[in-house]
Amino acid sequence: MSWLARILSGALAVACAGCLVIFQGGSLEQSGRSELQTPRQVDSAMKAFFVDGSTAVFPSGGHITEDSILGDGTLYSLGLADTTRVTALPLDALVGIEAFQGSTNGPASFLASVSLTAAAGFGSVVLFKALFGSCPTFYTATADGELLQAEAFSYSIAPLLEGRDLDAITLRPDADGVLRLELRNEALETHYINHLDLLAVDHAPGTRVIPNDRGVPIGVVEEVPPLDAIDGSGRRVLSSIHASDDRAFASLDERIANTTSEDPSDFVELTFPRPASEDAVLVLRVRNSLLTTVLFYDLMLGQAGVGALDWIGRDMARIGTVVEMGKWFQESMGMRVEAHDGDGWVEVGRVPDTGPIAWEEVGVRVPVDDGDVVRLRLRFLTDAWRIDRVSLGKATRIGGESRIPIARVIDDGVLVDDSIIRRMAVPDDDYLATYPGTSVSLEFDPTSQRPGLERSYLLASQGYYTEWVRPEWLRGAQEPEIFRPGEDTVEALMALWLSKKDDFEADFYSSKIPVR
Amino acid sequence: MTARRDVSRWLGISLVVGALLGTTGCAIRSGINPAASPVADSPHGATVVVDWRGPDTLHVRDRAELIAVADTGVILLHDRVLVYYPVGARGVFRVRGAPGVSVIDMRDPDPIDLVDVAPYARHPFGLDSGALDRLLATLGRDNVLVRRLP
Repeated sequence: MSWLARILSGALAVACAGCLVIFQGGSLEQSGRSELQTPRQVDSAMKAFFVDGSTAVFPSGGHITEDSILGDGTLYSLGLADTTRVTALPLDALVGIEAFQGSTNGPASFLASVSLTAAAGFGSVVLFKALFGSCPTFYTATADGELLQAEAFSYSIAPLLEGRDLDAITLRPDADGVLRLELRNEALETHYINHLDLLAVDHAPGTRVIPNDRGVPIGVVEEVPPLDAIDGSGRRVLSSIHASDDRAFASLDERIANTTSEDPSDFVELTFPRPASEDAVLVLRVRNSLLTTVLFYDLMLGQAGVGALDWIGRDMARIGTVVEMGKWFQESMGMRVEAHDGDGWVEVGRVPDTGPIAWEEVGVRVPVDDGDVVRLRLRFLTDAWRIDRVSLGKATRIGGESRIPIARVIDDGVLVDDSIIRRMAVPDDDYLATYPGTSVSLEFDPTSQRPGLERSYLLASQGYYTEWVRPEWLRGAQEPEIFRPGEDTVEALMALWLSKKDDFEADFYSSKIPVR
Repeated sequence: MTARRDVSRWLGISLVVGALLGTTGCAIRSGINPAASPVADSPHGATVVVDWRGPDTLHVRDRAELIAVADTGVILLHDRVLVYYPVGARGVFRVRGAPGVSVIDMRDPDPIDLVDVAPYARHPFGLDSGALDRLLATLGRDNVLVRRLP
C-alpha cells in the first residue's frame, strides 16, 4: 500500500520545503521548523504542528523565540480528544507553523477555481462556448431519435431558490413495459436534484392534461384557437401562435429598443370566441427567450466579474438577498395573464418563467364574461418569452393522479445503487448532484391503467443548480460590481439583449456539453 | 502496514512536492483572506463536501474534514472513518474555507491545487506512521478506507 507512504511523505514534504504561499488580499505563511526565523512576532491567528500529531492554536498570534512559542493558545492532542490551555510551548518537537495573515478581501468564494477545473475536464474550446444552461434536461428515445421532453426547475440558481416543477411529457412504456427517461446535465452547472417522480393521470380520451400556473395538473377539452392576436407593436401575430409548429412569437427589435423601466412590457392581445361555460382555460405552449439567460450570465454574473463568486457563494445564501431578488423577479419576470372585464384589464394569472430550452404547456383558468368574445392579454417583459401556441378550452375533471417513483437508475449500462434512488425519492436534505456531461437513464414501472381511459404523464421535480463561473466572466469585468436590481436594470438588459440576441441564440443551443 | 516504512517513496515524492512548492512559492492566487478561513483559529481542517462516484454508484454527497493532502491523494475524515481518495478517483471536493482553491476534481487534479489546499488540512505537515496509528486508535479503527478507482 504505497499510497499511504506517499500521502504521509507528500504532506511532510510541505514542511521540508518550508515555502511561503501568498494569496491575493492576505497571506498564509507556512514555515517548516528548519526555515523558521526567530525571533518573530505574529499578530494574526497562528497554528503550530508537532511531531506527535498534536496541534496548538493561537487565535491572536504570539511570539516565537529561539526555543519556544509564547502566547495564549490551546494545545489539541492528536484526534482532538484532549485540550490544554498553554502560554508557552517548546520548539524542539515542532514540525511547522502556519500564520493566517489578515487583509481586505471578502469571504469565501467557493467557485474560485471551478473554471480552471472545468477547463481541465472539457477543454477550453468547449468551455468558452458553453452558453447552454439553466437546468437538468430530460429526453426520451423515439423512432426518429431522441426527443427533448422537459427542463426542470429553471432559474433555481441557489439553494434558497430551490423550486418545484411539473412538466407534461409524452411517455409510453417501451417493449419491456418500462417507462424510460434520460436525465442529462448538458450545461456548465452542478444540478442538485432533491425529488423526482412521475405523475400518472388517467382521463377520458381527447383530454389534454397539463399543469396550471400553480403547478397542479388539470384537464382541458374542446380547445379552440384565437380569432385574432395583436402584439404591443400593433402587429397581427396570429400565424405565429396558431399551431405547435415552432414558429413562435417574439417581440420586434424596435419594441426592445424602446423598452424602459417605466414601460418594460410587451403584450399579445387575444380574442377568442366565447365558450358556453362561465370560465375557461387558456392553454399556452411557451418557453422563455434567452433574455433571462443574458440577464443571468452577463448582468448578474459577467459584469460582476470576480464578484460573481461572492454573489453566488455568499449573497445568494442570504435570505435578504434572495428575497430582494425574488421580489424583483416577481415584479419583472414571468408572464401575466389578464382578462378584459368590460372596463379594463384585470390580472387573472401569472405563469412563472419556464426556462429557455424546452417548450412547456401550461393552463391558466380565466373568467368568461358576457359578450360574443373573450378578450385576454399576455403581458411580459419585452421579448422575454417565445409563444408557440395559444388556445382556449374547457376545464374537465380528471381522475386522481398516481405517483410513480423511480424504479431503477442505469448509468452507462450499469444498474446503480439504490441509495441514488433514495436521494431523489422524497423532498428532504438528500440530493443527487450531477455534473456536466452526466447522462443516466431513469426507469419507472408503470402502474395499472383504468380500463377505458387514456393515460398522461407529468414529470415532477424539485431541486436547484449552481452555475459554473466561466473564465471570461472573471477576466471581462473592468470594475466588478455585485448585481443589484435597480431602476436602470431594464434599460441595460434591453441594450445588451438587442446587441447580442441573434448570435447568442445560435450559439446557445449548439453549445451543449456533450454527454456520454 | 508495510507502506508506512516505504522510505524510498517517501523521499522521492517529497522531492516532487518540494519542487512543486518551490516553483509556486509566493505565487499570487486570487481568493479570500486566509485569516477569514474557519481553519485559521480551529484545530480542524477545512470542511470538504465530497461528491463521490464509485465504480458502480452515482454521485454520493458526503461532508468530511480535510486531514492531509499529497500529490497522490487526499485523506478525509468522514463519520470517524479516515477515507483515502487516490488521484484518479471519481470524486469532486468542494473545499470550504480554503482560499484560492475550492473545487478539486480527483479524476485529474491540478497538482498546484493540491499544493494550495494542503495548508488547510488538519495536518498540513502530514503525520508520520506512528501518529497515523495513534489517530486511527483514537477513532477506534485499525485501517484507512480506500476509495477504489473506477
